[in-house]
Amino acid sequence: MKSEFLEKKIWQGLVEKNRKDQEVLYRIYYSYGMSICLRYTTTRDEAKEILHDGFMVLFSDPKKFDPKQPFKPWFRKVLVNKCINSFKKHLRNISEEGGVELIPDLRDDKPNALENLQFEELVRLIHSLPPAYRAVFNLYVLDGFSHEEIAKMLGISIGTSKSNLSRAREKLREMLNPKIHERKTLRQ
Amino acid sequence: MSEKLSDNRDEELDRILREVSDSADIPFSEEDWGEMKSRLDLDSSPAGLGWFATGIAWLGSMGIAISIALLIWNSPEEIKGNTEISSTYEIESIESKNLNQESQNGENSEPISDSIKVSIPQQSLGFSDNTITSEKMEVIFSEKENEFERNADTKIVISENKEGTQANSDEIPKSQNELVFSSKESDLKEVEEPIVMVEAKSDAVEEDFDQVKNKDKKERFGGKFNLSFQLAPDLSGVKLDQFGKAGNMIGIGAEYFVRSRLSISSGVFYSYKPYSANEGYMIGYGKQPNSVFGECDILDIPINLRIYPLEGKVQRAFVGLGLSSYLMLSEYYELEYSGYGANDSYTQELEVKGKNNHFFGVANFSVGYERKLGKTLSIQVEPYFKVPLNGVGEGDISLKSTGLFVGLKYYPSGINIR
Repeated sequence: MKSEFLEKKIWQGLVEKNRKDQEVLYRIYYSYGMSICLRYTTTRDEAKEILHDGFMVLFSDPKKFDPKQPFKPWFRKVLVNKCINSFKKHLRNISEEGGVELIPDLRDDKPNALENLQFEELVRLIHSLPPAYRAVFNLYVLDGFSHEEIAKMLGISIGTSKSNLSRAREKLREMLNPKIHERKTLRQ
Repeated sequence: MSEKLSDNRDEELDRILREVSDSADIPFSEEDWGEMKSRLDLDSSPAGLGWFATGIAWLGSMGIAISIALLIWNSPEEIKGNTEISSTYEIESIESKNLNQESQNGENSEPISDSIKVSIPQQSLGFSDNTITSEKMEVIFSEKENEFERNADTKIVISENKEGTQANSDEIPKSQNELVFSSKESDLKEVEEPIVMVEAKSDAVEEDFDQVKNKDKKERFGGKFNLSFQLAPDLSGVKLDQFGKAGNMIGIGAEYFVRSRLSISSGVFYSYKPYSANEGYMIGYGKQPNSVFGECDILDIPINLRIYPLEGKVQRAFVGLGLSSYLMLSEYYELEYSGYGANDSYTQELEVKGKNNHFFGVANFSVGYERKLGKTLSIQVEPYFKVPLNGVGEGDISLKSTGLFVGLKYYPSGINIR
């Protein structure tokens, strides 16, 4: 990514519904968008759907975005909102289905998405967290939202947000190095 | 991931994980772009056109439909053929006189008690002005008993008398079962509008005229009750200039005629209404959304009064007015809020099922055109407009709808005498 700002020519092309410019933008921000969606969702297909929903926000009404502002933060926000909406739906399904945990679909045969092993490992770790912890960890640590914003987005209190983040970190440490975690626990 | 990582403080852990996340390099998938492209193609299809283009298309369709209806309405088929004359002309005046007086004057040699004179506008018979004013014309309906009612052997004889001889009822052979229509040049001069005179024996004519009336009734439109199957494309929006993606309505209706030209109709219609709006969605408290996209599944139960001001033998038009009850089966909203920064907008999804019902909360306005397809079937087109009296749905929105019902109507009793 050469610039945080969207080229004026591309944005103008989006306004004119130029398919070439839409493709250029899609190619540039595919990886960035997908990396966000994969962290929040449980399957690659779901991540792809949300990514496409996010692109459609821009493609169907490019004027929603102010080209004088950096594109990435705006796009991240759009995608995160879409992910949170999807996450809430899943939460409802989980409660309606009697608390059945969603199993991360990381062994997807689709090419490309999880080729980066480091990132793949991170995604697997995040998916291992309980949904409530996962959402807060993603939002606070990886996407830079404040506890106040997270509380509003998820409909929880600021205290719950902080508490969930703390537990998420603890879980992650435990998963990253179980032996050290065991030693620390015994010492206490 | 090393052991050190787990011992790091929270910030250090966060920083490392953030770096891993930001360093993600997910190779591009042509397959994914293909799917995105298909979605874009779908979005730019006619269904995804803006309200303006959709509106133009609708207006065009309605214009064509109305033009066709008017053409059909004005077609001369109703005055074609001998069997249709009696039911299509307008009887302007009926005058009885005692023919005994005429008999005394020597104008009538037969002892006829009464005669009946019926004036018929010239154009009703489809003759040109030149024909009727320059030539004597006689139209004779001859029939045997009961045949007039059946219309089987009714015949029309048109004779021309270029010599200009004064038409006289005596000149025409008459019997108890014979109706004579005559047009005289002298008669035509006396009235503003040329007329055709009908003279006949009253006993026979009274009976026959009743039969004519019965026949006339028989050929009028429709029965007292009908069932219909209707479907419509439906456009919904909060403001009249915000109609977007088309929804639909489908359902069954029933109609009962309380008067010959007044009916009550009802039914059950399932309706899918997608819409988007920049404002108009109200949440009870707190921050209001900047824009909303909604999709509603609604059961629409209307009760309408219909008045049929125009009615022919095979077609008629009506004006409808009434109220609908909306049972909101499911509502889905995407509410977009502005955030703190210029590009900090965020969305909230809302899904509600079976919570909101609005009994008689929506006003219906419609006009319609119906045309007979057979004895028990007819087709109907009905442009409609629906406007809520109060807000509907979770956001109390003023969700207006318009569309064009196209339906088939079934008259279980066929074409009844009314």
